[in-house]
Amino acid sequence: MGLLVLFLMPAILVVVISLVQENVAKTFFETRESIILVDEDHGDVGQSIERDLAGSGIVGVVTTLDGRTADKRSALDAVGCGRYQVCILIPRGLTAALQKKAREAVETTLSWKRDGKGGGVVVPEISVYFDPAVQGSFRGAVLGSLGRITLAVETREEDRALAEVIPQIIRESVERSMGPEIAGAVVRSLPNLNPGLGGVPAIRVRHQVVMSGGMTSPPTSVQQNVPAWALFGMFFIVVPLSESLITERRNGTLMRLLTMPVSTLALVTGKVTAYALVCMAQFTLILLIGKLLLPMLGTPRLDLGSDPLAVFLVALSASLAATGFGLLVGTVARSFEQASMFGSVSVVVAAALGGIMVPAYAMPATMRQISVFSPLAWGLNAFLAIFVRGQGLRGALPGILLLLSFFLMSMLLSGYVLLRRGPSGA
Amino acid sequence: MVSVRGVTKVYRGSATPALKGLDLSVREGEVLGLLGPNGAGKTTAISILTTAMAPTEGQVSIGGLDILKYPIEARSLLGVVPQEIALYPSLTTRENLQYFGRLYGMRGALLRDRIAECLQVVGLQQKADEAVSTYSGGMKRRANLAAGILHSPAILFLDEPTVGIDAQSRGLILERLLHLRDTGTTIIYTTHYMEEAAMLCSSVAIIDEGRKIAEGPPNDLVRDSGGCTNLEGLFFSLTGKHLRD
Repeated sequence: MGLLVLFLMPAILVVVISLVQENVAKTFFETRESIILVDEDHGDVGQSIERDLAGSGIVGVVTTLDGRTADKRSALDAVGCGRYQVCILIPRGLTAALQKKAREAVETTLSWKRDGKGGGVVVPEISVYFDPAVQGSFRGAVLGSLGRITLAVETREEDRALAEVIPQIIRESVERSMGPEIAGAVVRSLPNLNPGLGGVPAIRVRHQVVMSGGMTSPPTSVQQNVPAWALFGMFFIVVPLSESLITERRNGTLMRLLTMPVSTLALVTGKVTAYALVCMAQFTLILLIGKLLLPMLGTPRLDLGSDPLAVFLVALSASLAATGFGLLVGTVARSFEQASMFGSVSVVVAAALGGIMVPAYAMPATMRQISVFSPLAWGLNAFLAIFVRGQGLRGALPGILLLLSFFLMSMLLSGYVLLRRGPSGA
Repeated sequence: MVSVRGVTKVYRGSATPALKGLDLSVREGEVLGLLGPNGAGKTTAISILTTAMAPTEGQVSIGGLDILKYPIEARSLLGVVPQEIALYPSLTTRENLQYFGRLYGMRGALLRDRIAECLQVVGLQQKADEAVSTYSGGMKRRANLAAGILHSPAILFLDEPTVGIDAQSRGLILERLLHLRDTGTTIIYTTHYMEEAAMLCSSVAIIDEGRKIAEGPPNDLVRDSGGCTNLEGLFFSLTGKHLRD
């Protein structure tokens, strides 16, 4: 049963987390039809927002619900029940108000009709409604896109207003000094101002992933999740290993073992080898899941990279580190409760600090500094060097050395505690 | 066969020593009973004599080997039956014996035959392939004895081997120990059952509060006690009747 849990839990974890992370990525970049646009204005602004949002690649936009044009009520119902994630409401009269406001702004800017009453136009607000379950990062992405799009729309309207106002100013000015015939001739000789000029951005931003080593395509979430959660599962060997040590101590088996004609080193090596092999079997299982099962569930396939030796060495050193830590916990803990509580909580904390759950770069500065002391961070960085950065053994070597040092330190401490306490552990 | 000189053991954090200058001498083929109330130091003495624990002071030799200098060589001479059921409960008795037998360097037919022999000695042939966890208390004690005699040790240490078991299992274990004694195995044995010690032991050492307070053949000790009629009476006269918790 214990072994089953040891293999089943990380297997379930890696499948669930990979699918979840994959879904997060899809929510941001691939999912269609997550935003309902309710256009009560039926003007240029609504059309621009719909066109630009759909073209942004961040979200998909719908304007109909169940075959009927979406209105505010039906849209809010759909968002409230989680069927859609966002509703953008373009209020009636927005385009007209924006056009008036743009003209007013241009006239004010050019100090024309200063005797007129400026600032009188109120532009109705665009309302954005989110599904309560939508996370802050997604909200930020949508609001950021919407802000850029509305700014572009405003700029276009101001361009258009400029194109209309400037010839009028010139005409009125020339007319006052030279008469209407000359003014007409001057205005006709002016070049046409193109109001659509600001619609096309001059500076474009292109984003891409740095690919080094033997990488041929950007890393997928599977490349990051499979090794991360495999490590998490491997370190959970701490719980059964420490409990088996306490059992051996309590039922006298340890005393029997210590009175047999084999060295303590041989006994410890046997135990470490057995449990490290279990960890390696766990790791192999997780890799097979990433390679065979996850693609069947719609995620990208795990690419093992071009350096299998490096993968093996990282997995082996992580297995040894986990086993050494299990021996230490089993030697120091005086009861099953202590071992299982401390063992499991310490692994979860080390995983959290190590960037298994949230990437270390997304942590606050203090946590990032603590993160470098987590053995799971060493293992994860070594795996990421191979699976994500394509650096092979050279990139993984620091992590391997740290994990092996941790293993040796754990073994030395375990030996010291065992010698001090004797076979009964008292 | 076993020589103990001035052995003292002080546990970390304890003000009083668990053993104070213990001296013992056990000849080949002898059965020594280590008797004493709870906390007297019997289990500590067994742990030190079996190399599981180092003494704070003193010397121990087994078969002429200083166990502090040559623990692994000394261990091949001794068998241990701890107070607890020192077996893996999820394994069968046969699997336990296979595992421990391999650690004693036994392999193949030798191991197989010896396991069958030991199972017969303790009367567990029919139940050998059942998990130890499913056994009754008496069966566990017999399986524990089988693991201790598996490699035919020259010296057998038993720490309360008959505690808390049924009369039949106890009878069988004592019968087997008598057989081992008669075939020349040296036995060092702790117990709270005085009639067992009187029946089995050629010599007893009574220890209390870490000190040896009497040593000799049971009949001689009773005879020389001046008034005690049996070993139990002698034991109470030396250690008192007050409770030791």
